[in-house]
Order: sequence, then structure tokens, then C-alpha cells
Amino acid sequence: MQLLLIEDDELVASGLVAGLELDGFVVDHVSNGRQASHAMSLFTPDALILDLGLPDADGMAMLRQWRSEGLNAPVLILTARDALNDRVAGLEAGGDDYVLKPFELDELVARLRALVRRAAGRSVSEIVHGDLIVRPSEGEVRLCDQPVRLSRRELTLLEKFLNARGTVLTEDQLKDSLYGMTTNVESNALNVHIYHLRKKLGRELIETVRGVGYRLGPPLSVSDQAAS
Amino acid sequence: MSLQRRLLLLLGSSFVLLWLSAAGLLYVDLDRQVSETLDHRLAASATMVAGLIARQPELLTAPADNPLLVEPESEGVACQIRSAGGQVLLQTSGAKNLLTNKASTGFDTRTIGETQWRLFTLNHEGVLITTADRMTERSSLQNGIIIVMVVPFALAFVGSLLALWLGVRQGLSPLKRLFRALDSRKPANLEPVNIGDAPAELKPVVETLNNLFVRVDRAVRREQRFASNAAHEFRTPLTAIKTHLQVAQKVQGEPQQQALINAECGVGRLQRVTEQLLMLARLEQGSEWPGAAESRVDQVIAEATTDLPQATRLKVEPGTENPVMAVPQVLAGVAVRNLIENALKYSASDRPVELRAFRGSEHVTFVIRDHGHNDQASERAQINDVTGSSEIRGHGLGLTIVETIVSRFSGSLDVQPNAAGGQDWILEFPVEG
Repeated sequence: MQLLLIEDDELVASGLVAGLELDGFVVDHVSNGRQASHAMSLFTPDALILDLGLPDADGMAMLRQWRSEGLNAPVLILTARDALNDRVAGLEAGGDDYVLKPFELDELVARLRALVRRAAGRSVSEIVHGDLIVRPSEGEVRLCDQPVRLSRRELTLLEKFLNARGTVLTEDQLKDSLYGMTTNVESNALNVHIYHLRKKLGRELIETVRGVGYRLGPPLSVSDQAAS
Repeated sequence: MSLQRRLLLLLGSSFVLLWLSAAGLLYVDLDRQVSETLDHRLAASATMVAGLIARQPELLTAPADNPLLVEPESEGVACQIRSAGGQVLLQTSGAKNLLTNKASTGFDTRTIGETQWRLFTLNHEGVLITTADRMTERSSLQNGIIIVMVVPFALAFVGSLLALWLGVRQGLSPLKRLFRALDSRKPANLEPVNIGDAPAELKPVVETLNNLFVRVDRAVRREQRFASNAAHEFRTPLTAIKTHLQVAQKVQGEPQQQALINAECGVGRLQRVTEQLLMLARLEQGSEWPGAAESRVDQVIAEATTDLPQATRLKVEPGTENPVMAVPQVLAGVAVRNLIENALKYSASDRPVELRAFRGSEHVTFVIRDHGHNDQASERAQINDVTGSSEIRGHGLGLTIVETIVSRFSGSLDVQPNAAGGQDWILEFPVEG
């Protein structure tokens, strides 16, 4: 799951990046409003973590502008402003959740997962796709009720496809969700992960859309797979 | 007691006193005038009888054993005509008892039997003509006059009191509106009071009150801003410490060591925020600052720039002179350092921050210049438009401390936008002596 962290305090940001990456998130960090606007023009993350007190801009106003421009990704406001009117203003400006500093890392992770889950139209953490059941928070994947071991990146990639619900994802989007904006990856790294996913979960799980990218295949049952 | 009740009591009692005094005086005067009028009537009656006798002297030749003039006569003016020798020549029936030995003329009041009379005796060519009124008849006439006088007086009196009550009530209504407006306010409500069209006497009160509300509102907002900034400055390093400690619990080896180092860094920042707050508390106590009350510019600059994070971005122009300022070195150093740190924090990390110091006629001026975030001032303006605010923001505790030091040591602090798209912070302290 790819996150954009907008936080001006480097010490807080480094702790957040480290903590979130431990839970399988891919985090791109920017430290001011200008960088945040630039990042948002390049990609749309699965969720944003926004600090309101940026040195060159007001986070609340930026959020309001992004929402007016059609941003649908969930936004978690992370701030030291604890006044009731700040919290109300943050949520009314387009924030989906409001977490006060300091916070529990586990709670932050759970809130982020819940935000992304709701944005994908699901009310429970479990994702069911035919015989495939994925529980992202536990890192658990079951196919035909049998556990399947996936690497962290494979799980991230699978979650990206499941949350996209059949929408075609470009290679760049998939690479960003795996490695973030700042990391250069080998050109065939994505193909290797897709190959492994297909090998472990079935060829029909991920369809190739020639010249565009990939998308999640239709949900299949055991009988369908046997037939194929 | 309410103002309205007090006014009504005071004015009402004054009204009662005045009206009663006026009524008393009027009654006494009227009583006197009625008595005089009745006396005049007696005298006129006697004169009229004398005129009749003069024209018709045969009237006095009536038999002496039956001198009745009018039969019967129970009220009104009684009349008796006597000869100089005291013989009753003529009389009304009611005057039978008026016989008097006195030959005096003029007015007299006498009780004859059980009846009190008012008499007037006229000597007409040796004949004594006496006319008389019963005092009971006079009293009933006077009582009638009092009743006629009392009714309009009472009506006017009650009407006056009613008009007084209405007038006071109407006159005090702006005051009542002000009372209701203030009485129904919640303690946190600092909106201006509006009582509509206030009278001239009340306008200064309402204006003063509203000005006070504005000042209190500003003070509350300033305190809230300070509390919010202080909370931010405390929570941020606390968040860093807590996050890195949580990460350290989940990892091993070098990442764990790095997380602990970061947490320690957060502790250092937290310590600094605490020290700044303590310094602010000491400054606001107003007690004498320990140590020398003067400092040199070069020492202040050295104090402000020692161990400064991102020190490579700072360019210092200390000036050719090295004047002495009337401010303790440690405080001047803290003020300059806080402004430098703010400038470093709130401008792009690849841009320099400049510190210049120079001496004026009475002040030493420090100018801390940052170059903003964007390449052009127009871009900065765009960001300000986006934020909906062009005010200086986010300078937290550090700026509050600078302002407190400046105010305590007769200095000044100003901020101006510069051509580079950043801000110039201008700090001045008075020259010693």
C-alpha cells in the first residue's frame, strides 16, 4: 500500500517511515507544501498522511484544494493541534481521520488500513475474491482454504490489485506502489513479482492488458480453475 | 434595590410631598377666602336691610310682641333689628336667640345655646342690624369646597405618579436592554453588545464595554495561539521519541540503534523546549535577571550561532563596530538564535539565511533575512492565496520569547517581506549609556 507522508519535521517523519514500512506500507515522504503539490501531480497514493503545520503552506488549505480538484484518496490528518475547532475544520476540509500527536504506531496503521479499506468499498478487513481470501492486516492469504506464503512485496502487489477491483493499473503505478516514488527499480522486478503471484495463486488472477498494464482477473472457484 | 425602584421611590415621595404641600396651602387659602366671602355676605345683608329700613321706616313700627320678619326660617342668613335701647324690632325666626347685650358693631363669633354663630352688627342711625350665619352651615359649605378640590387633585396626583412610573420605565429601558444583553450572555461570548439605539449617556458605556470585549478577545486568542504553539512544540519531539521507541521495539541490530539515536535526539529537543518555557516563565515573572545587564554584539552573535543546526546556511556580517547593548548577553543571544532558527526552518533548505548587525544612533539592529521557499515572489504569493492567509505563522514559542525579551529590555521587533521572497526580521536593542 503506497502512502504519501507530508510532514515537515524530519525526526518525526523518519520514525513514521520506519514504523510504517515495518507494517508493509510503501511510504513517500515530502516535507513541505511545494514538494507535496509536486508529488500529487505525479501520482495518486492509496492514502495520504498530512501534517497541518507545514513551513510554506497551510495543510488544511492544501487538502481543501486537492479535494476540490477531485482527489478521492483517503487523507489522515496527523497533527499536534488538539483544539475541537481544529479537528472539526480538518475533517470538514476533506480529512477522513484525525490523529493527534503523539500516537500509537499500531493504532495509526490500523486506522490507515481502515481508511483504505473503506475507500475500496469494503467494510471488513478480509478481501474475498472467489476462492481467494486475503487478510492484509495479518498478512494472511488463503486459496481454497489453504494458506499461501507470499513475500511482503507480493502481498502489497496483490492488495493493490484487489483494491483496484478490475481497474487497469499501469506498470508505473504498480512500481510506485511497491517501491515508492524515490526508488529506482530494475525494469523486470515487477514482472518477477507478477510471475510469482500467478504461480502461487493461478494464472487467471492477473490479466495482462497489452500495451497498458495489468488488472485483476474475474473471481474464480476451484471448478473454474480445474476446467482451465 | 433596582435603579428603577430607587428612582420611583425618590421621585414618588417627592411628588407626594409637593402635591400634599400644595393641597394644604390651597386649602388654607381657600378656607380663608370662603370665610371672608361669607363675612362679606353677612355685611352685605346687613347693609341691604339698613337700606330697606331707610326707604321704608314703617317696617320698624310692627307690634313689638310679634317682631317676626320671616316665618319659618331654618337656614341661611338670620337677621335681627334692635333699637338702641335693646328692644328687638324685627327678627327672623332663627334669630330669636341672637339677643345680645353687646352693642358692639362688626364681626363676632358666638355660641348661643348649642349653636355657634358668626355675627355681623351694623349701627344704622341708632338701630342695630345684626346678620348671622350658623357655623355648621359654613362648615358644610367648606367641606363641599374641599371635596370639589380633592377630586381633581387626587386624579392629577395619581395621574402624575402613573406618568412618573411610565417615564422612568421608558427612560430606563436602554439600561434594561443592556442588563438583559449582559445577563443572558455566556461567559465565553466576547461578541460586541448590541442594544439598538442607545441614548447619549449610555453610548460611552456600551462603546467602552465593546472595546473591552475586543481587547479580551484578542488576549484570549493570543493565549490560545500561544498554548497551541506550546502544545505543538511539546508534542512534536514527544511524537518523535515515542515513534522511534516503538520502532526500536520492533527491530533489531543497526535499525534498532538508529531508532534509539533518533529518540535521544528527540529528547534533546524536548529538553530545549522545556528550557525555553522555563526562561519565558522567569521573564514573565518580571524579577531581576541574574548577571550583567549588558552585552557586546560579537558575544551575542557567538552565543546565538554556537552549535546551530544547519549552520552552513548561515552567513554572518557582524559589522565594523562592536557596541555594548543594554540587555543581558544570554537573553540577546537567545532572541537572535530563535530568529535564526525560525528563518532556517521556514525557508528552503538549499537557501542561505543572513545575519547582519549594525549600530544606529540609539540602537543596535540585527537583521535576519531568509530567502523563502520559491524561486519567485509571485509563487510565494500564490501559496499565500492557497493558504488563505498572508500572516506570519508557525513561529511558536521561540517568537514569543523574543517578543518578551524585547518588551522587557526596551527593544523592538519587526518583520518585513523582502525582494527574495522571504522575510527580514529586524531586532533592535538600545545601546548601553
